[in-house]
Amino acid sequence: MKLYIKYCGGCNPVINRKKLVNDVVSKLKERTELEVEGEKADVGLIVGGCPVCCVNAEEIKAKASCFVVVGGDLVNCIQVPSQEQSDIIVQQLLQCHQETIDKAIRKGGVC
Amino acid sequence: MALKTAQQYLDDLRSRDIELYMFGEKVENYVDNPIIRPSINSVAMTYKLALDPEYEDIMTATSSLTGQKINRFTHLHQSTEDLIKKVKMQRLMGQKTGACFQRCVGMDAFNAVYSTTFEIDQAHGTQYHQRFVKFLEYVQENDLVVDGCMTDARGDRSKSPAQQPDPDAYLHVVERREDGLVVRGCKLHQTGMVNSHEILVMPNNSLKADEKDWAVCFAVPVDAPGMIYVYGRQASDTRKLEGGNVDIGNLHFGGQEVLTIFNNVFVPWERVFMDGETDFSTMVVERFAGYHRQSYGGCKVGVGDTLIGAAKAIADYQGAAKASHIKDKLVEMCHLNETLYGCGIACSAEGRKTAAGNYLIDQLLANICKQNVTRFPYEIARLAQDIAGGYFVTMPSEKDFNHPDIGPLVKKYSTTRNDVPVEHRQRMARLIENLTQGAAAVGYLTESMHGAGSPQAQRIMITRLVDLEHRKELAENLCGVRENPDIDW
Repeated sequence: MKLYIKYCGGCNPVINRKKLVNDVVSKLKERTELEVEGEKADVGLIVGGCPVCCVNAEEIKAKASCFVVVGGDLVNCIQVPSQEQSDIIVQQLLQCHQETIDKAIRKGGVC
Repeated sequence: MALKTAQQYLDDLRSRDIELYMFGEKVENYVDNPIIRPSINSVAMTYKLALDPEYEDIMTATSSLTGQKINRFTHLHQSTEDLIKKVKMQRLMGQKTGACFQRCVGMDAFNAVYSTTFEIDQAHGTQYHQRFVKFLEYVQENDLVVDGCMTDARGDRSKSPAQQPDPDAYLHVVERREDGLVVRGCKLHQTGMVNSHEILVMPNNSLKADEKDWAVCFAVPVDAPGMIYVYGRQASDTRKLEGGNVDIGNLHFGGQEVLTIFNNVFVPWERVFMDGETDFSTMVVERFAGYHRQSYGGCKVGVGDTLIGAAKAIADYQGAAKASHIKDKLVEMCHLNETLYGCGIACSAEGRKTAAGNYLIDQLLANICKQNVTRFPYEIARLAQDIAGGYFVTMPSEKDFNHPDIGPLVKKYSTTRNDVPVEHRQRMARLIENLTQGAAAVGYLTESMHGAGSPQAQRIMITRLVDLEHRKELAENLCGVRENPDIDW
């Protein structure tokens, strides 16, 4: 799986973004083959330090087929317990990836 | 009928029968009662301005549910721009009424309930959200006023709802029937209650797992059987019965707070939006409180504008306007007032989309906004009283001013500048009195203190939302207590 990661500017974070991403990456590597990509990827992870999550999603939407968005203690707008946050992100990234593959298969785009 | 006129709103109020008490008596025609009518006029202004081309851009929105043009007071915020327009609308309304116009609390409640019911359904597989959407479509299509209803009687503050000697201290479910719920309890100081069409009830606070009967959210019409209302007193309220039009200060507008009793009220299932989901009580309370703390960054600012104007006017009338300390005090009042507005705009601009799709304010900044509101209007009021001088509390009544014998003498010795009619000074002084210690001080001062949560409630939220460890780390990086990871050159 190719993963694109985009951080917010980090002006007033309520989570440790770098630590969260390190946890997510190491947990993903236990579950799948992972490449962190700067350009075109299968899935994207937007990491906002606070619920505002001010990353301009429009600018990066072409970088991946689907995104999981973190904003402080929120994952895709839903508040999650901090001790479970990285696991929930991993689960949603994998699900996101699987849905992309399923969609591509339905369109006949994946061999 | 997406937008009603002010007259249609008044007709709605007249068409129903509610059990309302004031001064120990049942009130029969409350719409024309001189103590209550100013509060109704304040709400009526929300209808009038929505139909005025000069104000419609801010007072109306396009419904996300029906696509119709609706009053913004019934709108689900669809963007940060909507959140900002909400604050601007509230400032405008404060300016036009100089009072609490009461319609925000419902808007704040249904934006909170909309997103919370969505997340309850996701977690529990319930059907609350669709029920709530239907209710809200009804509200929008009929341009209704909704009272957002949260604060319980609360009995012994050291005990949680289930520990209270009287379980009714917090509104709760007393019976679950095939066709719905029966609830009993009381909600205190309900803003604009009898001026509303519908009541949207929410739990008061975070609840424990065994407090399911108190985890209830629902809507009923204001004239539902079993609803009993007792009108709250305001300072100088009986001046409205004296027949004059000067001593009341604010000629047409006022606020309203009502003790609201739910005496075994039936709620059909289609109007129940939470029943026992204690794990979501905190979410709905915090979201409602957050929206309402944002609101105060608009409404109190608008009222503040009128008080600043009154202070400026009375300084002019009394010949003191050129004094440098007066100018400086007016600047300070503006500085404080615009700081509140800045907070209201900031928490809106930093809003975010919820899972349900509507927009929520930034909770930290909304709490900062309200914390400032618990202080700044008091200082603005103090400065207004300073500028006004003491006459606004020692001045004779308007009947003395109009007395055939002593009236001319009272006017002679109340005259300031020769080119300013004495009645102008009289009226402006009474407005300052009204706003800073009369009937409108309920809304401008005490409501600023306790409305949307007392100051400590915001401080608890601020403690929770600010990452102090992160700040400590920043300081340690700078002074060498820890190695600065950014320095790699």
